[in-house]
Formats: sequence, structure tokens, C-alpha cells
Amino acid sequence: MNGAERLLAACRREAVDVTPAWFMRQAGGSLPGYLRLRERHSLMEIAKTPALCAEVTCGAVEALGVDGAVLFADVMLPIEAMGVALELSAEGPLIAEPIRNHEDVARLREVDVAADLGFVLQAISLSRRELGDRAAVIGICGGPFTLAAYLIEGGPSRDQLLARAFMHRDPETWHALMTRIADVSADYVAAQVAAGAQVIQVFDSWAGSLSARDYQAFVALHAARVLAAVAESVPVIHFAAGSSAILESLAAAGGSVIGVDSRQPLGEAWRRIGYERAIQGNLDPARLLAGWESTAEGARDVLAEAECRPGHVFNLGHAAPRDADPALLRDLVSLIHDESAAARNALPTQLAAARG
Amino acid sequence: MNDRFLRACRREPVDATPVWFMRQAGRALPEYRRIRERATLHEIIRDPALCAEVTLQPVTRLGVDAAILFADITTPLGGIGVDVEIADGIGPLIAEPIRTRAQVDALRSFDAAETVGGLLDAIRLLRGELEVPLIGFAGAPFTLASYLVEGRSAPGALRLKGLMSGDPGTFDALMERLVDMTVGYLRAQVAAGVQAVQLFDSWAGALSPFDYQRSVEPHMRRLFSALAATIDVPTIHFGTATGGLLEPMARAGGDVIGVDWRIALGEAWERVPDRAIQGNLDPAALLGPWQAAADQAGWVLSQAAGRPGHVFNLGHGVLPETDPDSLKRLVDLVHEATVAVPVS
Repeated sequence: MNGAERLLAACRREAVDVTPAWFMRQAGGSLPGYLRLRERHSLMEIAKTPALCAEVTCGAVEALGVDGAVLFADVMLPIEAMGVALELSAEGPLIAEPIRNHEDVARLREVDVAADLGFVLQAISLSRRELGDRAAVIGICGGPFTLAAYLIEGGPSRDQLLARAFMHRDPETWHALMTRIADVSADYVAAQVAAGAQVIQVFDSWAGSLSARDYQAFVALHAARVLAAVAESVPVIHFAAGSSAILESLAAAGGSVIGVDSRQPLGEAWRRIGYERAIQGNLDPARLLAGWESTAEGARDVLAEAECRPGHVFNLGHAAPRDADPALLRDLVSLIHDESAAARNALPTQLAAARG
Repeated sequence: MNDRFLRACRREPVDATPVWFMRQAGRALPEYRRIRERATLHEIIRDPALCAEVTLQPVTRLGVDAAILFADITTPLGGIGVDVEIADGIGPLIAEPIRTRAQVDALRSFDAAETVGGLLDAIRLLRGELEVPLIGFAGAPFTLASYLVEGRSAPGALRLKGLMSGDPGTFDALMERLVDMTVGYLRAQVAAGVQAVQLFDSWAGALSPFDYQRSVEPHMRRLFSALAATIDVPTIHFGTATGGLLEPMARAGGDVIGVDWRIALGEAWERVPDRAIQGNLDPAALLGPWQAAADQAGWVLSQAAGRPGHVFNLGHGVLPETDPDSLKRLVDLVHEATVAVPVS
């Protein structure tokens, strides 16, 4: 199987030769080609120049041997297209004038994805052409809670207190904002698929700061709209960090694959969402900072949790640390491929037939 | 003496559910902000009269059932030789984060009287004035270690977790030093008069259950058993985002398990049925219309379902923007909604 077939099959819970692997934030980081580009271009220049963006996106596949090529794009690009000035810092996006009230929401611009975010779509087409079947092109979109939280907080924050306070203080404006974000996001993911994205990941990274009750009341319907926009055409990965308290609600909102971080044992999370979903995860990125032995040990634990069931996409539990050693990531992909093949071969024949 | 808080910690029947708030003394109160205009955090903590005054403010204004000593979780760290700066809006900053075994070995041993003498005097002053129990507290070692290793607040605690799995010897050595410090610090608080203690493991939620069990639980176990051997006050074991960790946290210790708003209190309690439970209204709910906050508080109470052993609290600290009147109404709501009908 080539990388694209492998990743798509796993997302659909079909048989695979080996477990597919890719990493959140694999493009960029410490990859040598990327570091050379960054000497001459800002983050935004790379993200907005299709040829450069495709180069970084595909460079990760070359360098790491991953089965998925996640688009090198910031989740805030559609927010910028809505007329919000932002700056990308090492800590994350920073917004000088966060959303405070209904007037601020009303001021958000309509987005014409083809015109305003055409560079993303072109980068997808270029990446697809460049990669062929070596890896599946993964389009991305921030989840509605996460985007709203950035807009309200003005930047990254620990528990998204301002955003959660906003939803309680003014539920009407909250839903108006979420509706606007979901409108744009739904168009954005649909356009990415039309441009050639073979998988979409919706990163609702921060939804884990909510209780299940609040997720259902304030987020679920908006997330469901975004996820449903492309659910008929491509596999959709629905990811949130620290989602142990909301896992069932998150899965109920949609996603053919549910992405979990390292705080939940993968096996337990899979039982909770049900085996009719695929699952993605969940090596602790901190392992990469602890060296190869710790990385390998953690990766084997994740494979053991997945029990060779069809429908496991290997990933980190969260974004790769920016200073992660590319050689370590490459070795990790090899380990996942080699050892998952060996584990499949070792399965009793009947089980192997069932699990591919 | 109003002892419903201590009774609830012991899971004894109470006349009404006790309520207090994490960070009840602090920026939400105008009388606190006035003091902060003339004194820094460190100055308040070091001055027994000021510290006692600030600790008393919420008891007077809000009618809570317990006072919590005003201090910062990093307060004792000076005693082992770590300089901490508290930056407004950022939190603790540590100029030279700990990354090596040599740095761990260079930490001094903790002497409570020398490091936090003012705070201990404040406790003595407070016991003479308070009509409600006084809670002492400390940061749990993993949370303190996250500041020491990361140098600042770091969601995900990546470096600390990297140290934990990559250099367990250094990690364990650091945790051991912090356990020793924390035991000494809490013993001194109890000797001076605090009537309960809370351990804040605010960053433990960054761990998987497996990592917690392997790398943190043994240290927490040693901490709680060292406390149990020498002090006889209820212990509250609190962490945020601990939905995956409740069982091992409870195994490690704590008469009361404190949970944040992410998890339904009833579900949390089912998982640690032999403990009292503290929580867990979302502090963000208090920034909305009163009725919405009241509804959510009612939901928390319905989750507790009148079982003995519920201490009402927020799921995390009071937010500075909170209207003190909302806090006061919340205290009254909890009391009125749970007042026991006398047996005739």
C-alpha cells in the first residue's frame, strides 16, 4: 500500500498493511528545508505563497516518511479573512482587538473562500500533484470553539476563561459568533476538499476546557455543521486535547476519526467512542523531548492499546514540539510501520482476517 | 464556631452545605484591591497583620464557611533557594529553571520558621479572630515542579514530562525534595493553627493515568502518609482537568477530593465513593447573568444530591472580574438550598 491508500483505509476502518502515521505540526518545526526557507520568509509569507506552502507541506513527507501530508497553514487564516488583524508569534496567534460584543461580531466580514483564501487552495492542489499517492493531503480547519476562543481571548490561554465567561454572559452573541465561524469554516473545508484535500482534520484543540454540558449547549451544533460539510466526501478527523470529560459529546458532533491526546489511554477512549469510529493518537509529544528510548517505549504502548484493530491512525497526542529532532520523528514513523506490520503478522489467522 | 466545613470534610451530617471559594481572598474584592495599591503580593504575605486582614476579607463580606490563608503556591520555594517573581497577568516566573541533577542537588533544605515566619504569625493572629475554620495550603510537588522546570506557567508541561520520562532519576530527586519541603511547610501551618489543608495539583491534569501512577502517585503517597503521621486535620486533594486521574489521586490521599468544572460532580463522586468531594461550579459561570449562575449552582447541588460530604466550591479560583455580590448571593443560595430540615 502507498501512504495515501494506507491513511485513507485506516480512516475508513478498512484493512491496512501497516498502521499509518503522521504528526500534527509535522511541517515546519525543525525540518532543515523549512529552517532554510524561514531565513528568507516570514511564517505568513510561506503560508500565503502556494509554492512555498506546498514545499513545506511536502517536505515533511520527504523528511519523515509519514503517510499524511498535513497542510502547512495556521488555523487562524480564515479568521484573518474575516477582517481580524492578527500576528503569528512563537506563542501562537495574537489579536490586538479581540471580540468583546455583538457589534464586534457584526463587523466580521463575509468570506469568499476562493478569493480570500485561494492561496490555501492552490497550495493543496500543488501538494497533491507533487505527492501523488505517497501521502494523503490533509486539509485543516480550527474547530469553532477554538477559533472563537482565540477571537475572544486575543491569544492562547490556559483554560479559555474569557471565552467561557463570554458564552455564559451573552449566549446570544456567542451563538452569533459561532454561527459566523461555522459558516466560514464549512465553506473553507468544502473548498479544500474541492481543491484536492483527501482528509480534513478539524482541530478543536481547546474544547477540553468545557464540561460535557457546556459543550453540548454552546459548541456541539456549530461543530456538527462544519464536520457535516464534508462528511459525505472525505474522512474527517475531529480532534480535541484533554477531551476526557467531553469525549462522547465530541464524537456525537461528528467525525469519522476521533483524535485524542495522551492523557487518555487510547484503548479506553476507543471503547468509549465505539469501534464504529476510527481513532487517532496519541503519543505524548513530551516523549520526543526525552530521547529515543522514551519515544519508542511510548509508541509501543500506543500500538498495544490499539490492539491492531482496523481504524487506528498513529499520531502524537498534540502538536509536535517545534524543537523536536526530525531524525527522531523519522525513526518513530519507521518503528510504527515495522512493528505494526510485525504485530499484524503475529495475530492468529482468524483475527488477522478480521483485522487486516 | 461554625464547623460545618470540617464536618463535611469528615462526611458527617451538616445543617447546610458548607461553601468557600478558591482565591476568595483576592482581586475580586475591592477592599483587597485597595491594599494591593500600597503593597505587593510578597509584602502582604510577609506582613502578618496585612495577610490576616486579606484572609479575613471574604469571610466578613461573603459569609463563607471557611477562610483560606492568603499566600501563593510558590511562597515556600524561596526556602529551598529558588527565586520566584510573580508577574501580573503571567504568574510565577523563575529566572533559572531547573533542568539538571546538579541544580536539584543544590536546592537547600526547607526551614519553615525561617522562610515563612510571617505567614505562621498570620495564622496565629487569624485563629484568634476567626469564627470559621482556617484552611492552610500548598502546591503539590508536580505542579511546583512544572514551574521550576518550565520557568513559568506552561500548559501541557512538555519539558517537565520530558524530564519525567527521559531522566526519571532527576525527576524523582526533584519530586522528593519538593515532598520534603511541602511536608515541612504544611506541618508548620498546622502547628501554627490551620484546621485543614489543601494540596493544589493544578497541573496534574497534563498527565495520563499511567504516567501519574508511575511517576507522581508514589510521591503523593509519601506526602500524604508523612502528613497523616504527624498532623490530624482533614486534607483536600485538588487538581484541574483530572477526569482521568481521580482514582489514583484518591489512592494517593486526601479526605476530600477537589474537582474542577469539566467533570460532573456526581460522576466524580461515584468514582471516589469513600471520600468527601469539593466543587465544582465553573468560575466563568459567575461572569454571566445571575440566573444562569444560579441554575448551574443548582445543578452542582443536584449532582451532590444531599449526600453528606459535599463541600461547595468553584471548579477553580475566583476570577478577578467576578462581582462580589454574585459570590455573596451564591453563598446564600447554597446555604438556603441545602438547609437541613430539623427532625421533629
